[in-house]
Amino acid sequence: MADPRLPARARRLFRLESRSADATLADADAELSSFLEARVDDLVARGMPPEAARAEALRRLGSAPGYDVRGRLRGSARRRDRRLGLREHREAVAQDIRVGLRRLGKEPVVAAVAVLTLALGIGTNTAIFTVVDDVLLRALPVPRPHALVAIGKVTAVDGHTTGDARPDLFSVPLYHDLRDRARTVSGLAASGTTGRLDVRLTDGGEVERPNGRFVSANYFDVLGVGAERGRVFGAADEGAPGSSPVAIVSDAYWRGRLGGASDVVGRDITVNGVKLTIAGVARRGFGGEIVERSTDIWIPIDMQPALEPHSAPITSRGTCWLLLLGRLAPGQTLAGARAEFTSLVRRMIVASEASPERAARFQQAVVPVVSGAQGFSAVRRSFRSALVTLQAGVGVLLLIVCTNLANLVLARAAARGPEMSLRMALGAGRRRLVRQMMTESAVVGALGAAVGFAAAWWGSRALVAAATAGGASGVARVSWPVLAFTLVISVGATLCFGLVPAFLASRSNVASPMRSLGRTVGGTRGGGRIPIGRLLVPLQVALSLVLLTGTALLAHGLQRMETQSMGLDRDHLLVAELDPARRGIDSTTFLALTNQLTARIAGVPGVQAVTYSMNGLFSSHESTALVAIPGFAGRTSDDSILPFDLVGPGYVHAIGGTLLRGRDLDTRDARGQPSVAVINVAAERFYFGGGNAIGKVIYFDAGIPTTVVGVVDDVRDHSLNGPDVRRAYVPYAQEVGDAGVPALVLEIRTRADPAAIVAPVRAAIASVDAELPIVGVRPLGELVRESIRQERLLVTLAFVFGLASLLLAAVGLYGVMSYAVTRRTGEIGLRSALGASRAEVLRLVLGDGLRMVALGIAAGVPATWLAARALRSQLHDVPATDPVSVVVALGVLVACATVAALVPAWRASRVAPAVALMSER
Amino acid sequence: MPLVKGTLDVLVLKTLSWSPMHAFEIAKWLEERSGGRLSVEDAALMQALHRMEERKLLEAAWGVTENGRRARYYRLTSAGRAHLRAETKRLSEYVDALTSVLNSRTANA
Repeated sequence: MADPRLPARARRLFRLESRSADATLADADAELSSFLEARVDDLVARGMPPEAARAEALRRLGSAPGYDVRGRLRGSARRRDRRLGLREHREAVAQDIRVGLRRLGKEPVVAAVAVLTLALGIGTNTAIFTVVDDVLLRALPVPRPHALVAIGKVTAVDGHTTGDARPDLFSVPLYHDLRDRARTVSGLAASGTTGRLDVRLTDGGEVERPNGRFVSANYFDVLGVGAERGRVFGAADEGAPGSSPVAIVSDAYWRGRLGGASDVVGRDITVNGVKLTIAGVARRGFGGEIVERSTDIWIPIDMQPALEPHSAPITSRGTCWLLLLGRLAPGQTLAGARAEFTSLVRRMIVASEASPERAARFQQAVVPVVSGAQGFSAVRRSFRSALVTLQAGVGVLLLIVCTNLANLVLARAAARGPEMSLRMALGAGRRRLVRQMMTESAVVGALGAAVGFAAAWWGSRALVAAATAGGASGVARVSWPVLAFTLVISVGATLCFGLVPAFLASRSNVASPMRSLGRTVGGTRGGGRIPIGRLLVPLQVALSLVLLTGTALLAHGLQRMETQSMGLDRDHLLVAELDPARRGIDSTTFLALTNQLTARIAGVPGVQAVTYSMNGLFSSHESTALVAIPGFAGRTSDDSILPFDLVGPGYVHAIGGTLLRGRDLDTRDARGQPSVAVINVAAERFYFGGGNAIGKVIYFDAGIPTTVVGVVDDVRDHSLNGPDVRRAYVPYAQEVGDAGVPALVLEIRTRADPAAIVAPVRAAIASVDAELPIVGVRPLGELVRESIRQERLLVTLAFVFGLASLLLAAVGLYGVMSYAVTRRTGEIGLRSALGASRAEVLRLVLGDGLRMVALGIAAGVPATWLAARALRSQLHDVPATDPVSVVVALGVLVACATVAALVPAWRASRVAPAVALMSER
Repeated sequence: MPLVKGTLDVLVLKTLSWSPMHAFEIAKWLEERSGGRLSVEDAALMQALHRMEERKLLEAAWGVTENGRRARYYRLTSAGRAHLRAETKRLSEYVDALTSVLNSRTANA
């Protein structure tokens, strides 16, 4: 019998059950009948007879046929209770959030640490995933990208070879053949690399170097990309070379460099000295088919001879530089396209090859045909394993973060034990308590996610810039998959560290915590249950062990790779890349130029030796030739391919190579003299079965017999990892007429630090020919370091994550042990009072902590072993069970853990018995 | 007279400003106070009470009448009181305005 004048708020506090649907209906019915009864009573009191009164009451109620009073009343009652219930729920949640924020505000340091720790875990995961999504997962922004097929070696984005036809990079004539014959695709487009484009947007304006691409006339049509302004390429843009001096620019380039000007269509620009007219702007958001690069300008293939007059002729079937993209015809599949193109390419190449043996090579050639949904990418394959490794690593880091936070939540929940019990005794449902605790965790979760997301935005851009030396633009856009990923891991992490402790805390037995209200902080004594904190620390230690071991392995592998012997004088070489073709140097003037340059540079103080070569060291250029060797029968067509380089006299000695047998190339190996070559040990072993190669003859492409005059120890001249490559060194002087357009790289050996003479060398080159374009003058060490940029970045990141995990584990261990020490203060005091020395107490507590660490290490060994095996492919010359790395990782972990455990242990040993025992009361 | 649309709420609120009442009491009170001129439909009244309870202008609890019967008593909340004040003012102003227009001397007055 509740007094209706009692404040409703008080009533609600003690009667927390929600209304069921039946109760609402019963309530409505009861109200209706009570109304009726009241009216009947009133009428009777005025003198009406009871039955008449009832009839009158019913009539007044409006029981007209079809007017369902009861139904209406029930309806309005139901709506009322539903809305009231929702409102109550909303207010409760809002209150929980307010309370949560207040509690966090009272301990800002704890809150900040929690939020930042979570932000670290979420931010790193999101950053890595952003790059993963952009480079590995995302499809091209074109209609129906999964109907595209990519034909050719999709990593050879800037590939350009001369010599033989290829089944994985196509010449213009071969492209035309395929385009006219292919039936499984409704359109076949081609795209190829431009060299450096010198672009002037206005007369006399600055020279810019945008990313460009030569494309076929149907390129935009096949991809399904329209124009935002003007037009895109069409059938009219194909014709005789030089007949279509037009270009299409990207939307980003138009907005960025052309100022978004509305008169862009029809504007003239100068590219490599040739006037082109901008015919249109491509649709917004389209940046080409190369994933990691944003193409700024597209130019018809037919304009290539005009723009790059000194490059190899594109009408030749030996100039291979195009990758193809086709759109599947209706009803066709990728497998069908693969079959058709494989047979077509083979047939076309065989048909156009002059000699039957060369043709025979291509009968079984593999033609790469894959889905074109993700376009082409030079970096995707090499990024893939590193990215997967990183993503796994930060996933482990997030787990450690969650365990740390779970510990934190548990500790705070334990401190609130008595309060929880009081609330439950007063009638708060378990669900309500859990919800309250979860709200606080949710606030931390939301804040951590927001901060982490913002950090990831910046971090992923920095990551991509570091990995691609700033070359990538337009990568690391935030997209729906990234947002969804962040949401999922944020919610998951919050549930992980918030829900489980909340449940555990609310399960506590009502009576005992209240009994211990007067005791020190802490809850149940003993009770036989292992506090979760003591299980979480070993888990953290195990996870940290995995990360640290992985880091150590990667670092060791990198160190091995960097310090291996390269077969040349790595620290004293300066590499100068020149562009004589653009200067108009051709085969007749080439040798004169090289003689002048070597003479002038040899005069620079500090220079020990000078030589030159066609491809250079650690450049992206390589030449190969088809060789025939009497007495050697290869198994596959690849066995007859021998990479080579055209080099100047004294090459081996100049680069610091080790001549094992015979002699170096020198000035007597000039044009007209017998053809000679120096080969490396790998080639000797492969072609001559370990016998002496000196004096043996090799037949290069054109059948010219070349005598081997020297054998040099293997030189790592293109990359630090990978197997040893066979190589031949042929005098440039003997081949210069047949080498096509001469390229020139100078290798300069110095006495001291090569970086010191960069300027004098530049001056020397300029003094020979001031107009000779210098692409770059750099110490070899720098080039080498750049070639392993990704590996170095991976190791750096692994270090950062490993360190973070170590720190978190140490903090976690420290926290759990401090808490344990506080709880055991009484026991420790008792022991001291009974005669235990400080050292004994220290040993006791420290031993406790180290036991947890040992458990963690033992538990972590299998996971570490698995992780090491998974890393195998990225470890250079280091076994997965490398003892050095394991020992280092273990050592660091144990040292750190010992320090973390030492502090609370030392504090425990200083507890005065009297203080401890008094606090017991 | 049937009620002018929109005035039931303010009338109920005014009634309850005297003391908590149950539905029938409110109906009777309104009839008596208006000298029988205002007639409220029972069902409409009860639905209006539910609506106002939903908007937290009223609070309800089961109680016992003088006759010993159970009845659902409604009482004003502070929000309801504020709403009553505001609505009363608004209505009075409206009636004033109406009156001054209708009472002005016209050709056909």
